[in-house]
Amino acid sequence: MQPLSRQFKKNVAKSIADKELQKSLLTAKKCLVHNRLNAIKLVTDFELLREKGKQIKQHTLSHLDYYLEEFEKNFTAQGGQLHWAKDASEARKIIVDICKHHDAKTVVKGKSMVGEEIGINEALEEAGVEPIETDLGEYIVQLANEAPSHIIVPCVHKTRQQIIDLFSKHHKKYGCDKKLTEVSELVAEARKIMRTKFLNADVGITGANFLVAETGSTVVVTNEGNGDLCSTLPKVHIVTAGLEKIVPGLDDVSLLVRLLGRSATGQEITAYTSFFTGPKRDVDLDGPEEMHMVLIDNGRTDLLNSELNEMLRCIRCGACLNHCPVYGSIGGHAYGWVYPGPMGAVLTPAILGLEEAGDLPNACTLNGRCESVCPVKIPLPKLLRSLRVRQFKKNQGSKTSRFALKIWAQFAKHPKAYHWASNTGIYLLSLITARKGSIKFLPLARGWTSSRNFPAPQGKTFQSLWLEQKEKKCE
Amino acid sequence: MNNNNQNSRDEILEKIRCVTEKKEISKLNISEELNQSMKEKAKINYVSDLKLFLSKLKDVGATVSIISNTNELVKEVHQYVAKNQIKTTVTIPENSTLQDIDWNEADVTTQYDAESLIVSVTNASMGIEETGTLVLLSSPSSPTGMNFLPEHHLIVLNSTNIVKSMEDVWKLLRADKRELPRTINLITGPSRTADIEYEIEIGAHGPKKLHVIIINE
Repeated sequence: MQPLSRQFKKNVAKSIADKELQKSLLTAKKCLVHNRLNAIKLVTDFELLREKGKQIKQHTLSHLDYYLEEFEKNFTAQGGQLHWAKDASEARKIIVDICKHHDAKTVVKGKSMVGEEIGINEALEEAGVEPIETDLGEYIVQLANEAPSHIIVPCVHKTRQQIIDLFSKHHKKYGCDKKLTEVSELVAEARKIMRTKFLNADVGITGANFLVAETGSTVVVTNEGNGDLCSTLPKVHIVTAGLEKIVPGLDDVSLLVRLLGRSATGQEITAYTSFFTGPKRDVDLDGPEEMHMVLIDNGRTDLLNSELNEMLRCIRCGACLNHCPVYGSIGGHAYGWVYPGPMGAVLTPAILGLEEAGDLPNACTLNGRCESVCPVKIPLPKLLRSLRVRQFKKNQGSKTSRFALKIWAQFAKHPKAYHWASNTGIYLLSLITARKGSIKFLPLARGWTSSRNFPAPQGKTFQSLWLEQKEKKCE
Repeated sequence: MNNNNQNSRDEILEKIRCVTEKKEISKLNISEELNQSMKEKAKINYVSDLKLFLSKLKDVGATVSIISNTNELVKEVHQYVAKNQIKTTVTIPENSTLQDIDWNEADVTTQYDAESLIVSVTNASMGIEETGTLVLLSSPSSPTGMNFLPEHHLIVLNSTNIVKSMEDVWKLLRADKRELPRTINLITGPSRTADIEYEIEIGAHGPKKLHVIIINE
């Protein structure tokens, strides 16, 4: 997918003006935050679980080479074919080659963020292979020719009416011309159409939630059951996975699954948690004859080698999106690429470069909610700050803010000057406000005052109050 | 793997080693230490009281009936079919213990046909109390498609095979020294989606109904 993160500010303006989107975002936020809270209440010590989750992932990353080789050994011993891909284009080529080798006409796909990341659908279409998204949300955004706007709920930005219109436009060719109104009717129609596609597809492609080094297994977590049909019915099963998906053993999966469901949708466990180990056995009645795994780097080893390496613990639950006030106001598309919200604000510049996505780390209030809900305790605000530092060192970012920061730094280094300047500032502001309590227009701060009033300073500066306290004590 | 791919592999691993080799090699079994359950490796926690398991099944939208022996299974399946006004044949897996049952004139087939499967009855290997989950292992007597293609999935579970947590399932499989099957399905309730306006809709691509028949002898 062509990144649009460069025009972040334009995207934001569009999202904020989109009334339908704002309505959808509000419902989404309410539901997801509420569901998670209810689910973690039922666990005796969710904090301990988070700490363990963090340790498992951090330990694996510290010995990533060992566990990857262990996985390779066990996966191939089970008859799986492993392919390593340095970047997105190599991954696309591997997948397209497998499809061509099998003369594939159609591919059914389970929901996969790394699939979006490498742009597999476009590559398949170019090669004359039809990719069919089977997760209902992904299917809807595919029909709309859009990108998913949430990593768990891809069509969170779509209202029911918009989906009804999409179905009536695209489903006529299947002889479905009944006007639908209920969600149940929409789901039933999609099920019926998709079933034929499942049964006739040549290849199934799924992502992976976890790769198990101990057994060489791939773990896929879904609610709809589409991932399982993708990996069972076609003759070839291809798994695409970022190499940070690896965990040491089955017990680690058990623990992380407890965190994943609760953090993502507020479920103790999703309807289906499936472990795939190699292709079908000779005696089995169904299952794929070939199982391929494309292990994708695409910037991950660079991430591992950087101060942002904790980001690789991410298990893609989406909790940071659901709790982010910025995501809640602008939705996923504004971020301009595959990964939105706080995790996206770190991953996008880390993978695509700060030149491409420099605005994202700055679109954060550093309120810390993302870190406090992250199931593997990724210090997202710290990572976003590191990206800002990187940006400053590279002389990137707007000239005005760089200039302002430099001036501020001069004052910050000289407490007396700072004290004098802040007092003068407050005095000047109080002249403008004239006891109204807020300021409607402020030179140099139009970005603030054009949409809301600037609160007038209340009383004295911290430094003045501190001095007064000190003097009082001395008396 | 072609040469090109071999190069990518080596390059990736080399880059990773720049980081991992700097670190002290800590104990690789740290993840085992993290998991309390691993410490009591041999002990498998079976569950004798069905109460929690049943309430979890209910929470996730499965229906349950308890029978006292396999002979009652035929009647139970009959009742389910009648109650849900199902007019099609019930499919049971070939080579399974279900095939040995005398289904007397019931409309039952062992011909697994992916395109026409509406109702299936299959065996679960285990149940997990913690989440109300059923464990199905793929084998010639348990094809994976039968768990996902039908509208109605009836799962038969012996009450002696209910364990406390997912970790107990792994302990059992390790104790058996069995190779893992192609597919292990952990099934918790019928298939569902909340992709449209957060309305939870039961019956997405997998079964619309999940009925668990527990044999409690």
